[in-house]
Amino acid sequence: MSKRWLSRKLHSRRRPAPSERQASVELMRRIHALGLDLRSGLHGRDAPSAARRLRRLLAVDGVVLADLDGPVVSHGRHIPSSQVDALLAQVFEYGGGVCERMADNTPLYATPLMVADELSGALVAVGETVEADVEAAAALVAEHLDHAALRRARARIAAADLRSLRAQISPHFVHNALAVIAAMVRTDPDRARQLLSDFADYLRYGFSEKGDYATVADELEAVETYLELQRARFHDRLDITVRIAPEILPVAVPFLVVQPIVENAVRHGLERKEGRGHISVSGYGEGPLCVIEIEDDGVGMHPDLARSLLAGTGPETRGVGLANVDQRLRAVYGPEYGLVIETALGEGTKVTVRVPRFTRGVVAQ
Amino acid sequence: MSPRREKLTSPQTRVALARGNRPAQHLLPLPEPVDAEAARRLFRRQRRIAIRTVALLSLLLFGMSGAFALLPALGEVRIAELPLSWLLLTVAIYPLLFGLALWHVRAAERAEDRSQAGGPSGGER
Amino acid sequence: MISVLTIGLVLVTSLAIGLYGVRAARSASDFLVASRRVNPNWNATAIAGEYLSAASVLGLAGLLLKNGLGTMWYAVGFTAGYVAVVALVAGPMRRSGAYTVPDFAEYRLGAPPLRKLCGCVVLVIMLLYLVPQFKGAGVVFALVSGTPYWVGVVLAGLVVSGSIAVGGMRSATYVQAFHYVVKLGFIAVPAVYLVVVAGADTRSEALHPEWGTRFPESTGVEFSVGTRFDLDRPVTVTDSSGAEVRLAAGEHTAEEGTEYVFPAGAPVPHPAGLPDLGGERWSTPLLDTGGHPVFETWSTLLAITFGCMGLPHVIMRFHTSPSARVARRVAVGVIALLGLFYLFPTVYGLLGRVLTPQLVLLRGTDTVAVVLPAQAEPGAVGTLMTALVAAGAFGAFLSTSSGLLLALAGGLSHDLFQGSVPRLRLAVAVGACVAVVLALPAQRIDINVLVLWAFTVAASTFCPLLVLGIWWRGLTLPGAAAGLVVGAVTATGAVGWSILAEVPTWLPGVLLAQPAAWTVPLAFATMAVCSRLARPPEWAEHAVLRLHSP
Repeated sequence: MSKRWLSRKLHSRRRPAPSERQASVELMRRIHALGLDLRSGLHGRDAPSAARRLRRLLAVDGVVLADLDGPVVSHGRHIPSSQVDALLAQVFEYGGGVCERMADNTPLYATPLMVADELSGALVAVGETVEADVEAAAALVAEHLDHAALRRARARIAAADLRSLRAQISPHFVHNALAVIAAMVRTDPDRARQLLSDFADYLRYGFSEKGDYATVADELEAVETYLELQRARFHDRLDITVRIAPEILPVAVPFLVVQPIVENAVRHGLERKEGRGHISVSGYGEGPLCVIEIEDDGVGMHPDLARSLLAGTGPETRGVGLANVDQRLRAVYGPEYGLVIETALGEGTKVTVRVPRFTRGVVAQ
Repeated sequence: MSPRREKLTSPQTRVALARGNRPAQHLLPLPEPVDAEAARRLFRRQRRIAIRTVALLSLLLFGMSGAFALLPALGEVRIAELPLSWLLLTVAIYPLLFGLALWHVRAAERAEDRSQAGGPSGGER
Repeated sequence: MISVLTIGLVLVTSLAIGLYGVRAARSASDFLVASRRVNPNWNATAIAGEYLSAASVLGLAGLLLKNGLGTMWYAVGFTAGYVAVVALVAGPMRRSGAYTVPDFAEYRLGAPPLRKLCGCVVLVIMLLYLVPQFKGAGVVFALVSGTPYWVGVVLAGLVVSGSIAVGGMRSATYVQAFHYVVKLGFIAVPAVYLVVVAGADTRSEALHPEWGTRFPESTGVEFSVGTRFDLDRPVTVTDSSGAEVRLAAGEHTAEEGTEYVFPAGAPVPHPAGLPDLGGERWSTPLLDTGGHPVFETWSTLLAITFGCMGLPHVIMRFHTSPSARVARRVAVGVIALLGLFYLFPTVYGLLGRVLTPQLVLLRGTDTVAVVLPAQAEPGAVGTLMTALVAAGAFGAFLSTSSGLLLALAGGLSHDLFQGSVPRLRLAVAVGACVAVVLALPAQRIDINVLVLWAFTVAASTFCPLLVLGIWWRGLTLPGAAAGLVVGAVTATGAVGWSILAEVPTWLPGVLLAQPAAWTVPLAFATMAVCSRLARPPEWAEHAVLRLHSP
């Protein structure tokens, strides 16, 4: 306690006088507010307010903010547009500050806005001031515009990141499915035709570019066609139970979130098991959450393997699907909504997806 | 199910679940509208329809109760021994409410169909 | 005994549906069924099942017996609420994807802090709504099994939280739909039976309140609370010792524990403060408990009609629809189902005045629907019919309070205490405990008074939030927050004051007892005015437009 008090005491000695401090805090606040106004760039809704703030900061009669096509917003004293255009043309031609006088001898300063070292507009100030002040203000505006551009880029990158994680249809499965159908063309042409049409449905869903999210109902349809094809491969020694409470069918979830888990259960749980295998998919609402459980009675996996898969350090050939689903769930809903795996060697596996029924921005297309 | 199974999550999830409280969630952006002007037109149209329905509903409810207060004679007219005002309140009003709701749905759906036919917007979801 | 059995049967069946009714498919060909969407008719039936609470199954008939025909305005309001839902919120709410009102607030205002405030309001509304459900369950249990009221309430709490804990609401749609059928069947069949068995004289008498209300047979009345009542004519009654007591015309006070046996044909005394049974005030179809019938009726209608759309468990159910269009149509279906149901409570109220008028003296009118069949036909069939109504009432209690408890627990765990894993079961247990504790002293308060309280708070808080959020671009965070606070405080405070404390004489009591007429406009105005304090964010407009774009 006393230590903190002492440090506060020491700090306060170095602090500037109250009035000076207030002034600098006020200045910081105004600069921050300018930044907020320019959040969406020069064409944003708050740009006029930014022009007003700039005029106050510079204490001039008027301010014009222009992009490369001409003036965008202005505040204060009006300047004839022919004169502004001429001024801007000069600035953009020479890439440096220009000073002129209006008809009544009021000075006009124009400075380029260099956003990330690229000429992207100009700041024009009318009134008694110094060229250096206008240049400093232009640097400030340019900085804020750069931030705005970066912010937009960051949102784009986040979306692209999510999209790059979007699950892919596994080539392994495509190969197997076609092989099974090919084998059946002679012996059971009807079933082969049916399977082929299932396969087509499955591919259409998997390759659809509609959006990043789908409803649980759509996801289950994909699972259903997938399992139908797998049953053919397993010569029907695969039992399937699906129990879904209808309440959660319209819930939006990231695209292809259930199917990779089912695929993992079939490939790594049941394919290696002797005799009949059973897989169950169940879903229900739990208050504001939607829970989907995928359970198989296959060979299970070693807990360490599952742990390393989820930590992203597992062997590349195993459970890429699971790790990817886990990663996407966390990216969309936050870290606490990652997959939960319950497994042990020889004990089968249960994977639980637990997500909120509503998350802003998660909309199935 | 099986007692031997172990429960596993990714390290991030484990930490987040142990933390006990949830940090403020980041807001994902909403998808952009396809055609803002058409959407605005549809919004205004839907609002007109909604106001009309609510006005009619108020008229029905407040009007009927007001009529009971102003015209006590409604309780004296009897249809098959039932006072007319009782009949209105306990039976006749329900079909009216149903009809009003049905009418609203028709109007709202027609407005949606028209806006969809007019503009190149996406399908119903 | 047979009542207990019927109730047990309803409970077991709904548990079985809840646990195993989830769509199950084993063979490949059945598999397709699993991913089909919910049939809209199922969904409408489920909504109606969840919505028809003890207030509808027990409360309406009881209040009709006590206060008169105007009570049926409650039923009209409950139904008209869905017209407002169809017109104003069903479609847009579905398009927002929001599951709860706090979700909607986050969608529309993008402000996670508002969640906590909304969570508090959810808590208030749901508790106010839960308490009368537990009261109804307690009363029914006490009646059919002879146990004290508090045993019934505690048992009800255990049954509901237990059934949720074992997963009895996992497939809520089917459970709730089943309960609609139970409620409709178990109120309609005894009602039709009663009308038939009552005979032409009783039927005429029920429809002619101006003929006066008399005890149909020699009736013992045991006053379990001290009651003041008025007599128009002198009556000679027998007290518990068998001595004859002559009660003169005028006002009397029966001490707690007094027992009088009124002779057959004696006019029924009316307790102080209540309208004359069958008198003009009773038979005029307006709500009139405080001398301002039009104001009271209108204010109540406003509260119920607009409160319906603000009820958290009503809003949730639209999330189940695959699209906004279906959501709207489902709501229209609900109106039809509610209208059908509400044809029947009137029968119990009207016949109750003729056959069981003593309930008014006993302050036990909420039990009229259960008592009446056995009273009208004291044989095996009558007992069976009473068992049916009791089971229907229990079904009403079970389905509504399960839905309410889940909504409450969801709000508690997800919005108020933002634990990383919502501890839903814990929250359910906590919610049930609080509701039970609050329901214990509520035995003498009418079910519908409490339910109306919940509706009034909903109409003064979430209704403006949803309506303005959906239809007005200018709603902002300060407006929403201020409106919620003002609405919640005024509505909860006013009704609470009128129930729990004496209202000063200078204040018209009706303004406190039926405050919706001023709290709802006040909440709307506060939201609209305080919204001007901030500028809506840039995405506000397209957040609104998305709600209306197909």
